[in-house]
Amino acid sequence: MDLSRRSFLKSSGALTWGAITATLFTPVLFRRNLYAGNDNNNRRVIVIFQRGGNDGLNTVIPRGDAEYNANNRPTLFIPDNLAIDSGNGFAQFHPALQPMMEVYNHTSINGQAGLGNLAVIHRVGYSGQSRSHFDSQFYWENGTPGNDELTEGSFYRHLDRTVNLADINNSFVAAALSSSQILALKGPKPIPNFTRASSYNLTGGTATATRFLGKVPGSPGSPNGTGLLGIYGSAHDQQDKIYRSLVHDTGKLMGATIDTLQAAVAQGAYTPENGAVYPNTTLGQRLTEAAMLLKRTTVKVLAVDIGGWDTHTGQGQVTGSHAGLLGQVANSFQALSRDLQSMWNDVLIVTNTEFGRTSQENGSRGTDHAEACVVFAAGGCVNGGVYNCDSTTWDTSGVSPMFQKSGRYLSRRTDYRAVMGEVFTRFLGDSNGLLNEIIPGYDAAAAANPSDFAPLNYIRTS
Amino acid sequence: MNNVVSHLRTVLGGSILGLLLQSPLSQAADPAEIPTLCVASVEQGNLTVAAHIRAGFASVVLETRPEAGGGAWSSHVSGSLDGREGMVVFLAPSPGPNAIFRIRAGLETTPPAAAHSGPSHFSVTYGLSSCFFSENERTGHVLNRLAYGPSEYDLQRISVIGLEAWIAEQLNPAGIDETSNSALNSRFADLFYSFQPAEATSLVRTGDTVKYFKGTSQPAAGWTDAVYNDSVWLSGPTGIGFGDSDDATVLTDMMGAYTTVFARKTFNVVDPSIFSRLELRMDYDDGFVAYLNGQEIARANASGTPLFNSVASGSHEAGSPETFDVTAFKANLVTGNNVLAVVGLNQAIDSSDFSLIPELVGLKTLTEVPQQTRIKGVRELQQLVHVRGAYGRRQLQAVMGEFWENHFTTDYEKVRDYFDDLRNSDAVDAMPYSQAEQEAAHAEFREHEFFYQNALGHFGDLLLYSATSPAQLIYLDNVLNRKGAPNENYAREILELFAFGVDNRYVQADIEQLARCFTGWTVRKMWPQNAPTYPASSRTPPTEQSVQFTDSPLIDLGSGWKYFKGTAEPTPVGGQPTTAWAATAYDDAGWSAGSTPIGYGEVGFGTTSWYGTQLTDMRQAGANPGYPSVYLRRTFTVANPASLENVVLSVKADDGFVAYLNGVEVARTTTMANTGTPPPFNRTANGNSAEPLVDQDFSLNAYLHLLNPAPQNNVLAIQLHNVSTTSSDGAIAPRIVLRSLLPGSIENGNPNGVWTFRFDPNEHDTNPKTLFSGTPYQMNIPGGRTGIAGLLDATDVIDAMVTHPSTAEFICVKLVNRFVSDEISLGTYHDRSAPAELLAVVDNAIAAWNTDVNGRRGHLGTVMGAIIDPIARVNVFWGDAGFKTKIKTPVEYINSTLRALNSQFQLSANIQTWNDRLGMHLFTRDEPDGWSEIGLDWMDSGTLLQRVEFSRLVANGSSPTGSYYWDLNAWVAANSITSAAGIVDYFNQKFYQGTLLPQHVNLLVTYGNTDANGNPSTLNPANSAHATRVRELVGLILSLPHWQYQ
Repeated sequence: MDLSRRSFLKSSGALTWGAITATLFTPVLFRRNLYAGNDNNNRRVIVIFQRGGNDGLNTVIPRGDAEYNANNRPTLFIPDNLAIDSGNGFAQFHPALQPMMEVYNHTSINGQAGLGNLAVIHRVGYSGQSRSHFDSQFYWENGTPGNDELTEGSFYRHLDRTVNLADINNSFVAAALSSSQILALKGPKPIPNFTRASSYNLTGGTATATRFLGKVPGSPGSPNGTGLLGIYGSAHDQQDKIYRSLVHDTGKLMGATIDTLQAAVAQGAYTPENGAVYPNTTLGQRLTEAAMLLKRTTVKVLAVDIGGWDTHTGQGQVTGSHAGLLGQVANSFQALSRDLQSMWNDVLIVTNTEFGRTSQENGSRGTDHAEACVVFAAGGCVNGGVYNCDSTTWDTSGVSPMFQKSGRYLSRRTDYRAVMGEVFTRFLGDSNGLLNEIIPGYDAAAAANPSDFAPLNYIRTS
Repeated sequence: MNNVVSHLRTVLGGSILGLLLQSPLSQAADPAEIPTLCVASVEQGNLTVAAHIRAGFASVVLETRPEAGGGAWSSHVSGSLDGREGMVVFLAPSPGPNAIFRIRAGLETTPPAAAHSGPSHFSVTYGLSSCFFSENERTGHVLNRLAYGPSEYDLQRISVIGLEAWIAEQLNPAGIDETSNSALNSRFADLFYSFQPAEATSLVRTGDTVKYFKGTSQPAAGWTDAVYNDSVWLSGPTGIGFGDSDDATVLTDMMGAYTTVFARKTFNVVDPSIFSRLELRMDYDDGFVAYLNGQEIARANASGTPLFNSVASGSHEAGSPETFDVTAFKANLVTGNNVLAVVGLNQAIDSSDFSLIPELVGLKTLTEVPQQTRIKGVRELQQLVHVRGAYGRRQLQAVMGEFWENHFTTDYEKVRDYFDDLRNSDAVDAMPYSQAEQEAAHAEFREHEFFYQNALGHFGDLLLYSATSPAQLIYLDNVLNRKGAPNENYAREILELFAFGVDNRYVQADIEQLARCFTGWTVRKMWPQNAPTYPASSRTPPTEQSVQFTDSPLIDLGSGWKYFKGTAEPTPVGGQPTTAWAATAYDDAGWSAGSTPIGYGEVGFGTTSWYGTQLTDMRQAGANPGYPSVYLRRTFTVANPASLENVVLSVKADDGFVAYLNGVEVARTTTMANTGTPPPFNRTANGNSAEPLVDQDFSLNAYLHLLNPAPQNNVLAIQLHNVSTTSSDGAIAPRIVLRSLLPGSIENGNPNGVWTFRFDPNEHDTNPKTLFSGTPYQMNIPGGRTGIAGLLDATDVIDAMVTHPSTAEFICVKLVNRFVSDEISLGTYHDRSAPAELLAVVDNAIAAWNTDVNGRRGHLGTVMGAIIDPIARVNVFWGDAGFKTKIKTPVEYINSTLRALNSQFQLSANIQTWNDRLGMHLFTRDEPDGWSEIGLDWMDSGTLLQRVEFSRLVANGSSPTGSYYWDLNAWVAANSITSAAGIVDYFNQKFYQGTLLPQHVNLLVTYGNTDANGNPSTLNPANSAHATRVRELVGLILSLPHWQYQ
């Protein structure tokens, strides 16, 4: 057949879809199998995306900046005596973050020596910050500011370049605990997602369901396959058209994921260790399962969302909607740090959020979209402490950083790619060359804005 | 011409082509090189023929001759080619009826002479391949894109009237008869109800003083009767109970001692005949039985006739009153005294709470207010999308109604919570939660209905309607957008999401300017007969609030107050906190005399001289430490407390306070939450008062029983707390007022009303604004537009958006994404990197957008006509390259599966929960961007499993009264198919247009011919498991990869 008439998709050269039609079984020539035996073999990451834009200024309070006051934030302002001291004499934490302090455990807070395994990184953003939820979430997750068409996640690229995703044995190398796939894990080769491991299965009688699901071609005793997987695993109809690989691969992945999850669940009810108590919310339920899967499977990257951060109205102060969300996150960090002690040095829990919020309260007791925001990271390899919110880095001698951008927004000090870059290089062991594939144009961006990329080294490498 | 490889023969009838034949003239020609006819039509004397010419030819000619008698072919139209494949369109006067034509392509670089040539008769578009569609494929394609997939009904309809006519029908849906569509109409009764407006008269109210009897023993017989000696019973206001803070009469001895409370309320009815309905509204914990004049009228969580030692049969928490329709017992009401008797039941003797709060309401039909059809609730609204999608004949309208709903998305839950938080003029909760749910669902329904009804109308109407829709005003916070305190949420999203597309020729400054244009936009309730309809509802909305009232003060600002500076606790001075200072009898002779407003620093408290009493030492300064609180008392008398109605404590305060009436706490600001009972003197408020200059209202209606009749005294006592002693202000201006409604007003909670847009000129920023500065579309909005003219600030911008190129681009690209292809975006349209065919269809759609229809641009039916190209059928919509290249969204997946089997679903099936599981719950998405139209966002392992599960569920629906019903017997009878191969072929042809590969067919047939134990067993109608196996097979057929595409 004449290739030229098969599909205009072929001739489109559109960036977005070029990759979609790549087949799952392309020979792997250049990938190295990082997980097959080097120092970072057991490294695991949990990414929690706070969707909607978290108000960083009421999360990690720049108490040393006089512009954080009740005039700028009449109903949001948290008085000194109600906030938690960070110990650096400048920053304070929202009181709802108390459960996290067990991980942060700065010696000068409560006099106890702690792990100091919580990094709190303020003023994270990027040049040309978008204040659109959708675009900015895209950039955080696809690693390329300004490119809202690249539907491929940076964690996906890390996985795709370090693991042979076409190998069925790697079908559960990463997952999202989410009803639909999270962009960070999206790419031409599907990564599993589900909301609850125990219910990820076909319903109906076991025999009926098993027969219906069937087997992929090439399974023992079933060269042509049977049932649903037989067809998802066989040739594509209209094979040169878009989405064929995606749909078929997703179907095969569904079968493999059912096997993996049901085997994990079959090990029995999961009891968190060390007195860990997860919040009784969707986030808590999903993180409980994340911990279970970290222990019972070989999964390396897990992604979870928590929504509700778009606090345009009635944000609240010590209590209220924002405090409730912060409490959930703080409780989750506390629970995970307890529950995952057995692998703590190989775990990293990191939060993302698309932007911070306006330094001035709006007319509706809330805040609007702004720019720089706060990232939390915890794990045994984390150098705990507050970054970018101390008397040295937060220069109040001129215009307050809270109003340095456009007179409205907190100015950034660190590019989010530098923060996430450390996850890939210092934690997961990716080379600098690989980093430039995972976060395209990393070196160029760093050269253009060296101060935004000044290393924080919040992750220990030894 | 050499290398002749034509041809096509077509009989040209009067105006329509009767017959298509195709065969190679020369057997030597390679069939793969034969031109393929795409379109041929004769209209108004002109013949249009489009054909696909393969690569390798330099010229082409359209020849005609009479059908009868043979004769020579004459060259009708000819033109040149450059050797690439492409679509050739010939346009020339018709050779007349009873002619046939053929097309020949050749290698000659000079085309043969013809009667017609040149650009007006001959054009070539290289690269197109739309001719590879069979008619069956075209039908499937059209039904997948313009409808929710093939159904027997529409397949049949197309076979009768043809594709072109079917599309024409769909583009003008008003002409499609739905009145005879019983499959559709029979379902509306499930979704809607007829609301009969009525005026409510409270016969028994919360806070009424009732007689009650603790269930430590059985009360004397006859306690439910109208006539009964209850003189030994106790007396107290409702609610009665303990443990959950809703009790005016607190039963401190109930826990562990008794499980029942008996109550009687005698009430007077002047004329029972005026009531058309009677409602009992019970707030209870955990059960009750209610009687009217001795006759039982309602019960919950109660079994048998409760005795004093009975317990509730289930658990129920108070907090949201439940309505019981007791109209059936209306005849029991008599003129004069009646008795509502209630026994409340706790679930266990050691239960930690108990509540009994009865209300009885008589409803008088309001004949002057029209009856309304209302949606029952949000789940019914969510189901409407599937009812119309599965059973409606106006398929394109249903598809586009859903498209616009998703485009102009709003969140039911936010609207519901907004209504639930409202208060009436008496400062009491405007409505119970259940009413807030219903009103929010109806607000969402009205919006959706407009989108559906105008789905193919003018975009400008959709945009303006959405902007002024109460659901949208609430959802994106325009209701909070006020002069001096703008909220940018809606201004940002109308640009980014509803009209222009992100960063498409606007900047942050435009958002800020536009937000100021929208100041003063809000909502109100109106009597339905007064409420304007669109476009008046958007162009000339009401400016007044729902409720207008007058206040007559019981305690006004001014003198008569005693105060105590909060340098220590007042009672005992310097001791632990108590409320002894707030009691009526407390001797405040030692306190200072003062007048209100009282405090310091805060200006504008509604008096010309700022303060009655200025407390300049309250603020810390130098050696003066200041003090964070002030205690206040005001003694007053009331002649007849029982006659009072609508009593409101109305207070301006900075920053927080707790108020007491005769020693009982009656009001507390949110800034004093969790500060202690009572808060200690040195406690600071939790935060600044949000709006110190606005009255905060607290209803005292539930506390009127505390009031003593004159000449006895009453005391209003208040403790004011500042946010800090260094605060620049701290003051309070309290009043108690008797509030009365003005005629024409309607309370927020009045269920007869409808929500509508309101423009509040007093909250509108009348300064000039400039939008799109420095662009050809700059708008200078003049200042000083006072009154309703201020509305034009924003409506002028909305109107201008329709003609702004960004809107045309953004909406046309999105429509092309929905109906044609995912392969173009605003970005690839702008940089022209998208495929040429898609750039062309967007360009054509934009041209159609910019064509005036009824004097306005942005006519969506015209735009859709350009996208679909239903007559010529030569654009990319008809290209084989786009065939089955979109992934169904969850709504499309669900509706197409229902349509494939004509499955009947029950309301109780809660089909809307499947949208949730597949990832696309409508009406409750909290992010404002709506769901994606792009396939990549809909294919993942989590939702694919749910898709498979849904198809199995529908195929397995074997009971006519079950959640989903597929009538397999009727299907077999109609199609006479029982074998596995026959079933697979049926679905392959009708629903997959024959695209199942042979190996797919084999696997399916093998599956069908396998029994439950996995052994080979030919599908046999005589076998008892036949139906089950057919259903499983069809569930599998409708779970295939192919079923994900459209």
